[in-house]
Amino acid sequence: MNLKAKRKKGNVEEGSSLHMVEHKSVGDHVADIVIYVVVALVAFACVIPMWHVLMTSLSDGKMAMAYEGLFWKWVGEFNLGGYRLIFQDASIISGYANTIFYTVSATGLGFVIAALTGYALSRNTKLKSPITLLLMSTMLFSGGMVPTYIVIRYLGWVGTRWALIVPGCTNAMFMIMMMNSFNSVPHEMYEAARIDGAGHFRTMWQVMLPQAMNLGFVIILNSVVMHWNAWLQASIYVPNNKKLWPLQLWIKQIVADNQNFLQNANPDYNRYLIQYAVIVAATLPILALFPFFQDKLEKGVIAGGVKG
Amino acid sequence: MKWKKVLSLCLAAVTVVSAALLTGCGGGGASSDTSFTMWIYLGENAQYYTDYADNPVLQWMTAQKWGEEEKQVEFEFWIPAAGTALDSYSTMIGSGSYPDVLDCTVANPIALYEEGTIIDLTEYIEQYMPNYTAFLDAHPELKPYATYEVDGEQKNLTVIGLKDDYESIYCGYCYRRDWIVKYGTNPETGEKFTGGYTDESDPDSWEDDVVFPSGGTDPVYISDWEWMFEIFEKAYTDLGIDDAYCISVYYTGFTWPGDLCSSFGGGNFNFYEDSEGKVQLGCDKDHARAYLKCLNTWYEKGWLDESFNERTSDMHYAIDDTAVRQGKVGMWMGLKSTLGGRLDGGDEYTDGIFVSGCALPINDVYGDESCQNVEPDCVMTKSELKGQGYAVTSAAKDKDIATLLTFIDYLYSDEGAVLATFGLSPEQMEEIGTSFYEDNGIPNGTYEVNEEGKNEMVETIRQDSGGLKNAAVLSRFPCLKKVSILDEGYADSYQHSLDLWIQYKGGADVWATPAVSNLPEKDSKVVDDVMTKCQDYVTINAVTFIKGEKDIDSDEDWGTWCKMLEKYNYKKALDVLQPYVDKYGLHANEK
Amino acid sequence: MAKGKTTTYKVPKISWKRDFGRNWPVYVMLVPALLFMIVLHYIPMFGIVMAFEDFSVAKGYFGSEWVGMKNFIDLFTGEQFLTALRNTVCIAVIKVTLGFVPPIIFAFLLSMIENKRFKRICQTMSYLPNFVASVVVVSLVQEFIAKDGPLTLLLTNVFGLENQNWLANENIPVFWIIFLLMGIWKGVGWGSIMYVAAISTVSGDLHEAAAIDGANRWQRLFKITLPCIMPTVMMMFVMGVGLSFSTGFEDILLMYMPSTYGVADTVYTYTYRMAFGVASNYSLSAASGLFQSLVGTCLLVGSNALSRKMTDSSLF
Repeated sequence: MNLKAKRKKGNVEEGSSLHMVEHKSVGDHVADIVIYVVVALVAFACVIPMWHVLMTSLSDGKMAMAYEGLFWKWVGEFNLGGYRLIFQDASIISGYANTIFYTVSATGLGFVIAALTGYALSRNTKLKSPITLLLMSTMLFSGGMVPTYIVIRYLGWVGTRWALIVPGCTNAMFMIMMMNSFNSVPHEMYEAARIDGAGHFRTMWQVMLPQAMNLGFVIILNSVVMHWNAWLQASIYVPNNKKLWPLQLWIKQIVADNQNFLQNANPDYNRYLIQYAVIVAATLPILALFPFFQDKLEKGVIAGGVKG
Repeated sequence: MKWKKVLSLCLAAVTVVSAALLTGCGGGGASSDTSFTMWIYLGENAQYYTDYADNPVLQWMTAQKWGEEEKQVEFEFWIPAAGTALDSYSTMIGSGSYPDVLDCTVANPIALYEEGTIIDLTEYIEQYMPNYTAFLDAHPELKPYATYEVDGEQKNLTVIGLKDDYESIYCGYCYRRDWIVKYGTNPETGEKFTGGYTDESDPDSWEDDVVFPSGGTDPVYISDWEWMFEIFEKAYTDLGIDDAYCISVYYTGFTWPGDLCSSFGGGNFNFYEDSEGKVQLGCDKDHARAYLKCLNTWYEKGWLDESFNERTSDMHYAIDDTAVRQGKVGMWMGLKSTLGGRLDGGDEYTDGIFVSGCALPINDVYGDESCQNVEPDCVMTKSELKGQGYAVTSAAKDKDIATLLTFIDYLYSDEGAVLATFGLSPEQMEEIGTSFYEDNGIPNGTYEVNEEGKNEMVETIRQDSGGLKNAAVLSRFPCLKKVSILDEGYADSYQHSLDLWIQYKGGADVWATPAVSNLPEKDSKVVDDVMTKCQDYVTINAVTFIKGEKDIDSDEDWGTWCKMLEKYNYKKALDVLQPYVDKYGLHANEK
Repeated sequence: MAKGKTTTYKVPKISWKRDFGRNWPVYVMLVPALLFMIVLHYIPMFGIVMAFEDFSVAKGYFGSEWVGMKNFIDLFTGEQFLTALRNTVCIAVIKVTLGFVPPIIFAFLLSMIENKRFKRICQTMSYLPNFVASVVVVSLVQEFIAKDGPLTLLLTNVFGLENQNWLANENIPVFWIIFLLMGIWKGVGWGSIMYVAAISTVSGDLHEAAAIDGANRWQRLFKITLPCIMPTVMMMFVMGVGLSFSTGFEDILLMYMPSTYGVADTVYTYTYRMAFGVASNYSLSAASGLFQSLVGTCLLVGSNALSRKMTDSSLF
């Protein structure tokens, strides 16, 4: 707990002390303005297409189809028809629930594995390099879908939630990133803990992990987003049990079911909006997570926390 | 330490929930010897039901007793999620977890039989499927589709879906007939045409006195089409549309299976059977050259969509859908939902629109005589009499296949075929207590019997794009469709367009004949390989001829094209295909 | 010396026995990962044999006919293969050079912004494109740079370039730039998270001390921040180089057209056309995948060595 208090203090100091010693010149102010403008422009460029998608999803279907150009505002009457079509089926709600469950459990499990591995790889052992290379080769080589299926069937996971949680829970990339974050913890902290008599597990859990955690959050965030967007595994392992379908698979199904709506003699143009509305429906919930993670990322960890 | 709490929570969640959820449905083995698992390529629209066992017709069927032993038959369906059917198939077959019954949409039955994956149904079918056998005996032209040649013997490896008549299709060439009336003149008398809607509220109530240069009221020849294009140009000038073009064609300028290309003397770009029963590769033949010449001419005159090769993203056949809906295009390959006055969105160019369907044209302008005045024989969007094949796999070896086939055979009897084609009657609905039809706004079923004794589709079904229509009847199961007693109930002008779309039945495209389905795996690899390479070359280079970057009239440029194609050794594929075409092709019976 | 900087510890020459004796708990920690990798990744790798077979789904992995290197020969002797290879190399090089830097710059810029709320809003906005499915991203790109598309008009009116569908442009390096910019747009915000997190671990004390010594912000950026996050940068670089040749080409399938095959065709797309054009040829696809993986491995090992030489930090 001692560490945490110090970290907090350090943070406050960081913010204020720099201002005290720094006297901004005119050039600095110009640079500041340039930086603000550039960042704002990048953010703006990133957000326009999403705005376009949002506004299209709220437009009048028929007019949206014929409209060319950017949707600054919805076209025609404000219309929630696309969303109504998506949510008319209760199954999509179970899709949300499943996705949340898969995301939380796979991320949790994956992070534990990645953290253990990352710590182990950051230690000084003889097998460090060969194992790292071994792990990394899984990023490049793959036996393909069917052999993996055969293994998973052998494990008895086909048709169960296990197939959606375990196989994709982590990957070599996360392990390497975790290794890097443990590497960036000053060696003195490790030594201090070891001298105090802490074993490897305690050192990792109580001393090193908190220090490595802000890169750890990046991994968690990446993992959450990856699982949130996953549908392929569900389509292979649980296609027949719709109760286990994650959100994205339902979305894919709904979009596919509505693709041919124009063949109707009297097409329901709201169906055109579905492809846009699903993007919004799938993205909004996960956006709500960002403030939490940003908090974590920004606070940072004072690497020199162990001194004194 | 907050991070630790989060972590611990995650961990706790994992442990607790995973313990609770360890149970799954596993492979889901069917218990009794008349419960079958069945993989189908595609399910119905999820809006209606996601488990195909909920299909009302199947529910009625499974409620009955079948076979000598009076057994009930049950199905557990395996349906791949949208867009993953191929993956699903290859994991299933590749890993050896077969269903009992297999939809053969993507399967090669001969290869599967040789590997022992599917079983020979010949004897079962003779014994237990009298209705199926009787129908095939009465329609010998369909027989080659139903059997496969293995070691010189004809075997029934699958049970195939059948139709007793051609059904109308949902797409074809469409044109702006209202523009012809407004801007065209009678080719003989030079008088202006007259015509219009008799009832403004009915999109099909159009009447006019249009006559084409070939003399009929519908376009028949390429020259009729070009006559129309000239009229469309007048319309563009008058309306001030400057980014317009007369015809939108498929992305990359041609279609591999044929269609417009086969208007130039028959044959496609792919393997086709010529009038003498010889199999040919189309892309270096005269008809292909005439086709490219025609498109090149259209391109140069500004009639062809100038960015036809850039439309990689548009929905539906990669035509310029937006421009069509804005009323800027004169002619396009379109859906039946664009026929009549249905595109009238009240905007500038769609006001008073009337769209009519037309058949593929016959060339009378381009190329030499061999390319002219021949009916198209390779039609891409066509209606067929045979449907999907379904095989029984070795997984069902110990099950009661006899009862299964008795069950399926009922759907080929008169009574059963009506049930499969039109869905349940009100009495049958009551019998099994289904509310499916009522819930979907068709409480009396999908049809009513009209004065002519035909089954006329009810309004809701007629307006439907296929979702409800398919869900309310039996569409993903082997059965006979009694199309002959179906009256779709469309207005005359609408039905006329649909009829024109299936005017030419095609059949020369080797790919659509039993010649290809009977190819053993080794031979089909040879053909596929050649086809893939030729296709790539042609796709890249056809555009250059159409756009005039290479000169289609120059024998040198054309020679290079032909030489390149020869390099892929397509003669080898022709040699492989010829014996099968002799046996199963269009002209097989004449020999 | 910067405290945040990682030192790569030289593995001392100790015997295996001592290594295990001292480090056995560390090896125990590796067990879950090794189990995971062996069961779910290494065992399924038997599927790679497909690359040397005339694979048939019905015959399976061990029943299909063995054809040795035939699939590789087919692949390498294909008409378009050399063009595809050249394009793959060029796109990969552009990706790991030009495409690698923007997230780092963006992270630096973010770190220099003092207004917290502004910073957060901009950051969140920059993540958004990462959530858009690639199909949608591609269709947006197509829309924006089509003839008379918003971006095309901008280029025409401001820079006087010809109004055209830029995706249909057959000249080098138009397509490559479009593809690069699309990747940057999609990944700049998301990719910067890693660096933002790394920058936040840089000690405030260091900055403070440097500021007192009179270092301006640019000096601090290059003398303190950059060296501190160098291990992270190099890690991302090594992995980026390793994966550059074999991943990330799927979107091209939706973006190219026959007239631009000359510049847009890559080994991945070329194989896709050849292997899944008319009928599925899994063997060819597996052979191509193996070829790309092997090249990727060489790149990975090479870039790791380079990284060790130049910055003293390496992955393995």
